[in-house]
Amino acid sequence: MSIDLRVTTGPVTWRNPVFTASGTWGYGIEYFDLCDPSDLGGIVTKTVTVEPRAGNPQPRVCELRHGMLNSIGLENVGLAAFVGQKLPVLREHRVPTVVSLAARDEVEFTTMIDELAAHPGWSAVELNLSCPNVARGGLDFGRDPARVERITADARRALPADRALWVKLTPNVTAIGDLARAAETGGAHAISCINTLVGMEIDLDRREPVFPRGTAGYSGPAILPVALAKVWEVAHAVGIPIVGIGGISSLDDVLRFFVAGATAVQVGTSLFARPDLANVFERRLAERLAAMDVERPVDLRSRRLPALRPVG
Amino acid sequence: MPRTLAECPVVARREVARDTVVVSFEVHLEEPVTAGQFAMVHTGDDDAYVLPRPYSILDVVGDRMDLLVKVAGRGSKELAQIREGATARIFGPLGQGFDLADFEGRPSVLVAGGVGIVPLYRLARELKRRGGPAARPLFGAHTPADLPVELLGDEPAGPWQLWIEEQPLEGQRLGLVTLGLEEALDATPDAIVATCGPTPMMHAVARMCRDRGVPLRVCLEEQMGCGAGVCRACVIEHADQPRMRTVCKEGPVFDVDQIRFLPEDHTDRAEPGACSA
Repeated sequence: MSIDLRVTTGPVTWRNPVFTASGTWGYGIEYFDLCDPSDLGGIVTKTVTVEPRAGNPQPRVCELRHGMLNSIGLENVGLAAFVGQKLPVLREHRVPTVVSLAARDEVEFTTMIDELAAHPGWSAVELNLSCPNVARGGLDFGRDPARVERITADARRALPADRALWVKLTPNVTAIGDLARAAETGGAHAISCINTLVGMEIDLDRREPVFPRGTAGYSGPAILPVALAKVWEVAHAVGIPIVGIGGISSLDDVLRFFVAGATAVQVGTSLFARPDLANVFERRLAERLAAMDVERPVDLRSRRLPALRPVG
Repeated sequence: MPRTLAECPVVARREVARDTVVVSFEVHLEEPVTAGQFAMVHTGDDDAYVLPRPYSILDVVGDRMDLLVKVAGRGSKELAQIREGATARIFGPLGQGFDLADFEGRPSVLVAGGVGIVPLYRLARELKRRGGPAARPLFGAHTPADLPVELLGDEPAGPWQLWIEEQPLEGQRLGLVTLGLEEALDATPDAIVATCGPTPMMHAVARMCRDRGVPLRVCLEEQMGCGAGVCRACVIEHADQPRMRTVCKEGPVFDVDQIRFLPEDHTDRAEPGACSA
């Protein structure tokens, strides 16, 4: 049996369905000495904004049983430094790259895509419409289907025809399917789902929340069931590919996402303890599928789900 | 920066003070480890607790790496109780340690508190091995039971001057270790100071050095997620660009004059809840 791990989102075909999630693996160039990111389906960069951002005050992380909270606040080098310093390295090492973008308003997304379009070395953008840790933008955009559709459509118009458009959704909504449908209508090639859950930890000594902002983003193995349910819901709502994200810590978790309706996955929080984990999954996936008598990840898709829209 | 990421067996474990053990791993590290460098250690099940913990590297002899572990929370408790033959995931060496050139041709005072002894124990040994002006190592602890006596007695790093807050034994001084620093700087005002320990102690050391115009290197401890500059959990503000530096990658050792270290340095800090960008 020949195993085919390739996955296609819009105009871009990736060699396999295992990616690293935004914010958990830097700009994809930090672990060259440990593993080769060009073996992955791709990397999703730390979210980039137009201007550099210093991020939120300390504390920024808090570990909990089966997960962690973060309130980094989208600290990043800014688009100019990303394009000037990070992108050339990714390109030189032939790393399939998805650039995660966040913006303060609708216009900034297209401005950033216009700027990116002038440079080679990336294959897709992932619109981060769902960061819970910033004062403006982020979740505000991601909760309103009309705005999601408008932002997606504008981004799609700005995007070069040979690049893919992924839209990352928040789970912190009542009906994620409506948002996914809005992104699909707007022209998204894939839905990334999910971003972190809004969560909180309390410092009993101080009788206050641990984080200055109160809430933070909850990630890690604890959110896997939530992520699977959201992917399942989105898979009923749209016919475009879904990139499953949330709580993956084993190859079995990767397969669970394929059953729930995803055609690709992103490994996130587990990379902190094991930076080579996405590479481990990528290496073992083919053998695992063969053992299950399955040729492609999509063949694991639950029969209770509607069919994917044919590619092309 | 060749780093090792591997499952490593525990080859020895010994208690050196109250709630404090030295755990030895069999691990092959690619490069010489400098004082202040650390390793990320993850024990047990990936699912239950997701983050590795940073530990300053106490010693490396051949393929053996020693870590000093004081029980402070869940992660350190788990590591302190690890048995010989069990394994943990080791990622290291990480970070920028002390630069011996900073200590060239001048006396030095090393001020350690608690597990802050680890990088300064290594630094004291390296300075002694190098020769030149004397390094005066000071160590502060709450009670005599908190002293890792075995390490402090280990020539050629010692002898350490011991400052104890409660019921000192013979040969130990009563009081905070900063009293010892004051004496040392009175005697050698041209010294450079290195410190590592609890934050209030390091703040006191930093204020004294600032008042006296004495150069200071601080070895910082901060909550970390990755140890590789990626998660951005352990950032500190730097005088130069880029402004936000990570303790894990650009540190943990900094020239204190280059960072905003003291609470009073943060007068223009953004309101809690606001983004500083």
